[in-house]
Amino acid sequence: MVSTWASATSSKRISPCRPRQFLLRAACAVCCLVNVLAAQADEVYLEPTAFVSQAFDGQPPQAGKLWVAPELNARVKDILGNALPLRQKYWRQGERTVWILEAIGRDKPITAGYVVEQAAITRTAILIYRESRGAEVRHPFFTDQFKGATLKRDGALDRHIDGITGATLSVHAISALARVALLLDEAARAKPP
Amino acid sequence: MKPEPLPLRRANGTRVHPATRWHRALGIFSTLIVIITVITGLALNHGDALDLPRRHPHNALVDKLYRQSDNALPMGYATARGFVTQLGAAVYLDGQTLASHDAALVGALAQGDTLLVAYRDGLVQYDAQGQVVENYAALDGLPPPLTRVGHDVRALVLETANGPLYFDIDKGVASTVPKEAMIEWAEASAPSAALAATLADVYRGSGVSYERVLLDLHSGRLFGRVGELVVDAAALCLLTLALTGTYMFFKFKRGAQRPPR
Repeated sequence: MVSTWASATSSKRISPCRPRQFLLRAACAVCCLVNVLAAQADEVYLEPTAFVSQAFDGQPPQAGKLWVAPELNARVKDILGNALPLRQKYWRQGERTVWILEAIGRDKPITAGYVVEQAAITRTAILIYRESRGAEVRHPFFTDQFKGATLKRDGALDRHIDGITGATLSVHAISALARVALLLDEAARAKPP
Repeated sequence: MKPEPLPLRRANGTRVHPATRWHRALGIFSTLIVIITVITGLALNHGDALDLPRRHPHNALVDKLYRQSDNALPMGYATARGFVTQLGAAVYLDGQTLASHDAALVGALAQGDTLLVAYRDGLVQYDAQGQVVENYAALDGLPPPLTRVGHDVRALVLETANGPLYFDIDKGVASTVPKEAMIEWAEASAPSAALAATLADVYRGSGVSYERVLLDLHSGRLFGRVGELVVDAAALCLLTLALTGTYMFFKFKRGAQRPPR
């Protein structure tokens, strides 16, 4: 393609394109465009380290580890469809805990961060998005719906989360992770700091 | 030898109508695709009777088109716990599914019952039952991409974006490796013939069915986007054939009723 362009620009007189050549070039251009669009890389909206740092005003505490008890992991599995690692990393300062969790949207994991304070979510952020569509969940109009959300007795969120057309699975994943973050916060606060 | 162009006039000197010429040209162009589409369509319509969903073709062309070739089997890492390899997103330990991980496998080591598997985006610790104990990544001081895993006499070593780092699994702390350290890196190797055969079976399962191959041939998808576009073009040709055929039918019918000059 580069050489074609170079030869075309170096020549003083550009010959008119024949229909067959035009169709061939147009087909090549379409193929290139399709390839570029198909090869979508992971979108890092916020580095997890930056999220943790922001949650504690630039002075994050050392990470703690929560052993995820089998009964807690069973509840998590009911929500997410898969269990968590046996040891879950988190950050805690006073009543504030920070969780970085992953859930599959449609095919690929979405990494989200949650700040929980006094059993209520105070901040939700999409950190890394790997799916090909549905990245609208990263916008504040969606994530702000989780502000103040707590868990009801049955383990559901205390509010309805409005969906986004075309991002249903990502919305479900982020909502499920919010429930998991609140469950983990409950378990972490149950043990001494 | 070049084929002769379609005559513009008949033997009696009358002009051939452009619709007739288009009709002929498009008919010839779409013949092969129409034949394939019709045959595959008929076969798919009677797929159950022909047992197409349960029969699996195995030949070099199908294996190549669906990337089922044994050549697609990647290298892996031999550890004291078994041979770790990755096919697509699936990670296997001796032919058994261990995990699903999108990032590429870059190494594996066993430390007692613990299996440490390094991916480009982080390190994962598995217990004796294959359960994930913990994930370690940038937050633990391991900046991606990880490219190798190894050990020296002191500890586990990971090659990260910041160069090789010692990593203490128990504390989750990374530290710098002195230049004189003698690191033994986990080396990728090919699986044994028996394991390769098992992995090939696991990877491709029974393989694609005749139904899937015929469906992809019918839609042109077997040859990728280009195939789809060719079938689309043939479909448009058929539409044009129907239109030009109908046009000619009425035109010639009217012509036949017209009194001779």
